[in-house]
Amino acid sequence: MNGVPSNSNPSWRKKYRLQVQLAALILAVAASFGLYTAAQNGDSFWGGVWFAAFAFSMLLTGLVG
Amino acid sequence: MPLNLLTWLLAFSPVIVVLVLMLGFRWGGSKAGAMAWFVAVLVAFFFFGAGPRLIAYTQAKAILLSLDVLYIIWTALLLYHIADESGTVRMIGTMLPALTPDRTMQGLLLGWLFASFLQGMGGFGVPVAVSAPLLVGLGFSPVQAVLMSCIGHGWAVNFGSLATSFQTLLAVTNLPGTLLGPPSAALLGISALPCGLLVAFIGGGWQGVRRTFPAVLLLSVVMGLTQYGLVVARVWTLGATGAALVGLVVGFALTRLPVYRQTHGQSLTSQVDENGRRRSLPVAFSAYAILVVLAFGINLIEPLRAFLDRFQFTLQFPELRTALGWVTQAESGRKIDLLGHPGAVLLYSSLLAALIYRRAGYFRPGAWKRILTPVVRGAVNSSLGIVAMVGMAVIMSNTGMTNLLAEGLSRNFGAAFYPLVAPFLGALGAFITGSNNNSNVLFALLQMRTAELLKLSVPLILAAQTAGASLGSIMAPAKVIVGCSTVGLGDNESVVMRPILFYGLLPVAGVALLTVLFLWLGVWS
Repeated sequence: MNGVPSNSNPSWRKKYRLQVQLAALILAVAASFGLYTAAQNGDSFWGGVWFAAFAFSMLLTGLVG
Repeated sequence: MPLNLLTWLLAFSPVIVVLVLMLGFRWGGSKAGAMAWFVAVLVAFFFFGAGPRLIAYTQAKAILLSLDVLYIIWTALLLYHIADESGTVRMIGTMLPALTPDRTMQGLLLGWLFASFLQGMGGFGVPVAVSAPLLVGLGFSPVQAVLMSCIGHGWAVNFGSLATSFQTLLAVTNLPGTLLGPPSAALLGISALPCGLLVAFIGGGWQGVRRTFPAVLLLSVVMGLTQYGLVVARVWTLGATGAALVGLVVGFALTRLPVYRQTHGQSLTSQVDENGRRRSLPVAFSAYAILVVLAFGINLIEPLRAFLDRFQFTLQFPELRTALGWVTQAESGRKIDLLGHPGAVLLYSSLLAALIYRRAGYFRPGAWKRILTPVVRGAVNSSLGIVAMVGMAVIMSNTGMTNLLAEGLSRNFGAAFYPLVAPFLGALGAFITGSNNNSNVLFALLQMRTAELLKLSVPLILAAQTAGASLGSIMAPAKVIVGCSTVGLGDNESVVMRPILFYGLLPVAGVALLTVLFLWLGVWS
């Protein structure tokens, strides 16, 4: 796979685990504050975007946690 | 939401997911927490009437609570790895056997007394994060180390962290500390004994318990009475700190007794490292000495406290209402003291200690890389677990799921059995939320009203609530994750979860029996 991470090769999870976890953590924190701002402004579009971002961070956590 | 078996099970489902995945499938805390967060959001949305606005605000509340804990985890790990790089951990590992060759006594000094002292000063996971790796350094297995340091400080949580949880109990119930303090101090003071005995058992088996029983009994009495005295004297903010400090002094004195006496002839003022260089004990311990001085200074010097309190971060939250009518009042989120936070104290201690170690020549080239790499590795996985689990807990709380759980438990038990249930309810709240404080927020009013309805002693039932929460908080996955991350069990928290649930429930059961006994005797009625 020319070094490209793929689900069929779980070794990428080990190799990039720390980076993915760091990214997931930063995304989770940023998305939570984004959700607060969106809720304050009543902005459902950005609320949806930030919720999806937080859910994605949880998905990443589930994948490599 | 009407209370019936189906709705109760739905409310319980996120917790079931965590328990099944961690205990049954041996998943790590972050992975199980992430899954439970999804379940909590889905159940809240489809069955408990949580709209997008409520979920958005709830997640923001949860991240404030999480950051409050993460501030400590990252800085506690930093302090530990700085001390480790300087050779302090190895030095403690060689010093304690010199102080007492009795392995169980060593475990008691670190896992029970030192962890309780740290709980008194800092709390929020610091006792486990600091003492568990030190126990591993002494040769205990990582699982033993986490179990001992978790269980050892359970009795000190309520009056620890400058009695934050107890203050919350007073605030939520609007009852005076003079009324709730004595029964709480009594239940938790007596609980110091089973906590100490369990640490002795985990560290040294039945033989260890038999050999150290007189010491554990004496230390429990001394610490229990000190805490009770401080609480009755209305100095409950120093209840756990003062008790553990006296316990440490008595504990060190006990190691001079013939039965626990040193047999090795090592110097206690300096140690020789692997390169043959002499190391000063006071310099090596400066990291923890600075921590003690700063923690006391910042908490007790009022003008300094007031100055640091100016630098706070929080968010304001409006009233939240589910489609089913569950209302969460408008409130401020968790206030994070940027400069006076226990995490900040740990950071100052870390930086000052690093400066001292560097000047003393204890750091070898490449020290900062060796320090920071394990800090990031250890903290990031735990941080994700905490973000997920706290998110789940706050969703459950703000949608009425937690209240439904509590109602279901309390309604099914009458006046005869409720005193047995009250501490377990407190423990359940702490298990779910990871905090004695949050358990009191969630369940104190419910416990008070149930006690009034059942004509039971309100102070005693509330004391049972906070004592159960104090002892139950040590079983919380969030706390276990912290401990595991510092001893290299970051991916394998489930091996600790099983035994900690077993051992951790024993002191809670003790509190339940004591509550019944005190009610029967008519004390605090």
